[in-house]
Order: sequence, then C-alpha cells, then structure tokens
Amino acid sequence: MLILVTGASGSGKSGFAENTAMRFGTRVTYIAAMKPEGAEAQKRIDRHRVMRRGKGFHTVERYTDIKSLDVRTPAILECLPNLLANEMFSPEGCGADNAEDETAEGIRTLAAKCEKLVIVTDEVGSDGITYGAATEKYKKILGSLNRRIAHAADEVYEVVCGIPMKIKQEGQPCAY
Amino acid sequence: MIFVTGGAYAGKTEYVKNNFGENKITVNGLHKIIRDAMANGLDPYDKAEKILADNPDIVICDEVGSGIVPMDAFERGWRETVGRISCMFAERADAVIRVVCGIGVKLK
Repeated sequence: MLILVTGASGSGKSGFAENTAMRFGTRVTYIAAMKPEGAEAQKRIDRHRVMRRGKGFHTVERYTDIKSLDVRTPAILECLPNLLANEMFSPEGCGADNAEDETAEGIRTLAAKCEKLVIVTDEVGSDGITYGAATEKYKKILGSLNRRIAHAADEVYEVVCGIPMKIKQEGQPCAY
Repeated sequence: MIFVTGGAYAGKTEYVKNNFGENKITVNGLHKIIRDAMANGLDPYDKAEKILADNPDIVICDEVGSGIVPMDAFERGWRETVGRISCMFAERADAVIRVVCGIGVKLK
C-alpha cells in the first residue's frame, strides 16, 4: 500500500500522514529527511517531534540514499521535497543530473521493502514565479516524481486547510 | 471546451494527451499568452475573447496565484489577470479539470 499526500505549506499534510500511517499499525517508522541546518529547520523539526510525541513512532533520520534503508512497516517518508533537495544540492547527494532516477529508484525500493508507506510531498509550482535554472530544474524533477509516485500509488490525497481530499482511490487509474 | 488548470509541472499537457488524444485543437499555455499580450501593451481580455472565438477543444493554463503578492506591478497585474481570465474560461467551459500530481480532478 503506497499513499501519496500533497498540499500547500502549512495545510496539515503531516498530521494527516501520521494518522494515516497509524491506521496500518502502531509501530510506525518515521523517516525524517530534513537536515537540522539553521534555527528555522530546527524549529520545524522540533514542531514535528512534538506532533509525534506519544504516538510511539520510531524516527530514522535519513537525508539521502533511501534505497539502502531497511525499515519496518508501516512507514512515513517526510518529505520528498527535502529528500530531493538533499540529493540535488548537498555534498552527500547524488547530484542534480542523477537525482530524479536515484530518488525514483529509492522510493520504488523502499515501497517494495516496506509494505505500507506514506509519502509526504509539496505543491511548488503554483506561484507563477520563474526562478533560476537550478531551482527550475528542481521544480521540474519534483513535479515529475510527484506524477510518477501518484501513478504508482494506491491512494493520493491533497490536503487543503487540514481537510484531506482523496483524489485517487485504490484500483482507480485516474480521478477524472 | 475543456479548461485544464494546475501548477507548473503538475502534468497537464501529458494528462490532456493521454485522455483526449493528440488531434484536438488545444491552446497550451494561456498564462504565457496573457503575459505576452500584457508585455506588448495589448488588452489581455481582448486576446482571451479572440481565443474563445476560435472555439478550441481544450485550453491549458498554469495556476499562478498561490504565492506571495509580487512587489513588481507588472507581475502583480499578470498574476491577477491570469486568475480572472481563468475564471472566465472556466465559466464558459463544459468541463474544468485541475491536474494535481498528474491526476485530473474534475471541478466542473
């Protein structure tokens, strides 16, 4: 079971993803992809830690190379945009040219190993702004990965103001 | 006319190709057409009416209004105009589809 959760910043994706993973079992593995770099990142990480407190989650910090990760099911990957940014732009990453294939392969492997996986992603292409070449490449790859994961997923949700909208159901190739 | 909206790189063009075939009269990138008209001092609403008068089967437009209000007046005006003209097309369309992660969500 692969579930993709998307939505705007601050829309309540993480809380929904956590509750969804808990439906599948009590011992949830939480794969945290955000690097604790700087005060703002730390604040966000702390907020998510408080949200997870008491839920009995097992947290694994993993910033790149999720292919070689061994995790217990169910699991949450939080989040794809961070993982991709690390792969593309951090020294430990595989670099911008390999990032799409590496990340897609990593997710495929992770989803196969871990029977129930919830992936949190972001909507980054709706602000009408054209950025520099590196950022546009990042947007394009993230859009492509979102589509590839949505295609493979059993369920896809867009969360709006904390309300999850199911836009793809199991056995339904397309919501149209 | 079917109006297709959604963020950049959400998979709108691919969605249209897969679901409606390649032989439809498609206007792809309405947001860019609006931008070009405005940059050349033309009335974007006139341009929009001309597009509608040609009776396209499908019109594809990026959703561009979900960020910070731009400081630059042209960017601000363009962003709002894309929203207004999208409403106009959606009102006249037989169906409106918003593409999210490659999935078409029917709004109308």
